[in-house]
Amino acid sequence: MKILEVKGLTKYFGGLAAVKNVDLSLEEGEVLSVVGPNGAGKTTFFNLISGFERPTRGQILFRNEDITNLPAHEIARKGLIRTFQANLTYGDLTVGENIMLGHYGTHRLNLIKEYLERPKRNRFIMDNTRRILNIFGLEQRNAEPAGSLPHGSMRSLEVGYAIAGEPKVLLLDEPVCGMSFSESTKMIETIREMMRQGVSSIMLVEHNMRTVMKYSDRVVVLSYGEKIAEGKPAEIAANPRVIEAYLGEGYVTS
Amino acid sequence: MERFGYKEISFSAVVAFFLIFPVIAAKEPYLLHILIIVAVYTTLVWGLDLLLDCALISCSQIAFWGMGSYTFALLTLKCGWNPWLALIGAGVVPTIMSALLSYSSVNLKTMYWCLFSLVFAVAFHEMLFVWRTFLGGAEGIRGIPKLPLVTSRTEWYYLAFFLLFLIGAVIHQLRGSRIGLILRGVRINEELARSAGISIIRCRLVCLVLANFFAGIMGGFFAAYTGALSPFNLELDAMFFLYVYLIVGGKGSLAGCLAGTALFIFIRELLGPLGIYMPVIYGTIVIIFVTLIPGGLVSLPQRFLSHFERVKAPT
Repeated sequence: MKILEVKGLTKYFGGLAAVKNVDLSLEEGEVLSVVGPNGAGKTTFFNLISGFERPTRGQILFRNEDITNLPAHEIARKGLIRTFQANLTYGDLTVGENIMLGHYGTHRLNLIKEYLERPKRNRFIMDNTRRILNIFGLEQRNAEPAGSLPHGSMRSLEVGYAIAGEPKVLLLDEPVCGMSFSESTKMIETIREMMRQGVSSIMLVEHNMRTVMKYSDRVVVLSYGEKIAEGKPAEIAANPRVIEAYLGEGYVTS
Repeated sequence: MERFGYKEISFSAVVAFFLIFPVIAAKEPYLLHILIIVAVYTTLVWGLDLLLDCALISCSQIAFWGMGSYTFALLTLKCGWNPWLALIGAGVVPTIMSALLSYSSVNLKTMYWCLFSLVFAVAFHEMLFVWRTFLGGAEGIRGIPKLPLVTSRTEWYYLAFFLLFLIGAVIHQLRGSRIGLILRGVRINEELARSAGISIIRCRLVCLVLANFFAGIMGGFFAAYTGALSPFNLELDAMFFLYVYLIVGGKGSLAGCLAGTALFIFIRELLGPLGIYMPVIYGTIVIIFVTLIPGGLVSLPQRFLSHFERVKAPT
């Protein structure tokens, strides 16, 4: 079943098309990678889906509901949460507080329930924070300011922050960027563990081809804002258009 | 610092000081008057500080304070409300107004919002002059009824500090709560907060509504206390002085804001004869604080105590 469907998504910055007529669908239980050379529009594509930028044209359906023009926080509340490419955490807050904050936007109650169920909700958030810290191996650093974490742990914290909002679809913008191979393997394993715990689908922007090939069910290739290929990882690796986009025309052998 | 408990000790000391101050100053009612003014302005500075929590720089705090004052005056004089009821009304009207204001400025970023609030403040100030029949024009409003049961200066003083204490307690509680954590997050990074489903607009609304409700209540209190209102109390430069109090006192700290306000109001009383040279002195003090003591007055005890902290060699 399609959980996320993108139809004819287009975004112009002035005269330049950053994303052009991209159609894409994300099935339930799937890991989809979006790859492409630098400047292919991958991050813009993410910004469009998560509501941080408004598309010029096109439509985004999440569980058959039009979310094209919803503000970012409402999209997040519906269960579509993204991470950022830059190391983005609340540097002055502690690691634990970061994860706590991840809950607050989405675990909301209406005014009456707020009074009746507040203690229950707070207890849940406490427990869940502890659980997420454990999953990402951050429990020892719980009380440290997030800004003092080393790069790898900070990336984990970012994903933990997104997980705290209980997303149905997780959009990860280069989650293992700048990590060592062992770190990135651990990270991806953790993310796959998330899929067993409620996250139904993951969309991934990634430069690390080894990660992409190993873990994604399907790969979409963007180049100059257009979708040039889509398919199983092995098919993509052999696709001449993809090789051309990455390496230039001269390297296409077949 | 927990070992010293110096926060708790100094908090109790300050409360005790304010409680017994009227006894000490029984012969000096003017000092009580100054402290009442300190209480009123501290509320406004706290409001600005609360708005800074969600990255809003407001120029309209004085206008909302004035709105509270005028609401109180109109409700008691023209509608004949009980002054106590009118005091609540003085808080409610700015609250509603600020809710409307925040919904009409949903997409404005910090600096543009600042200009927006400036426009609102200027427009409000002009309205007071222009709408003469209703708001009294340049003469303002006189003969505003006092609050029943509050007669002597000492009683006014206690009421002022009771209100101040309540407002401080609410802000303190808010900062320690879920909303406080959300506000800190929003201030550090709005995008990250939005990505987790936190509504920036909602945060702004909470801060604006609370800050302006408090400003309105204190406005009503001020109107009842002085018995007369003049639009000249609501000049914009008063607004900028509030930021001076905030910076010198120490932003993000209730005690700091109180200390900064108290310091400057006493300076103003002492150096009042200097007249037009006052802004020069204000400016000098601000520059000294910004460059040398960026944490403000509130950071001074910590700085001082840190010289005496126990040193421990790594084991």
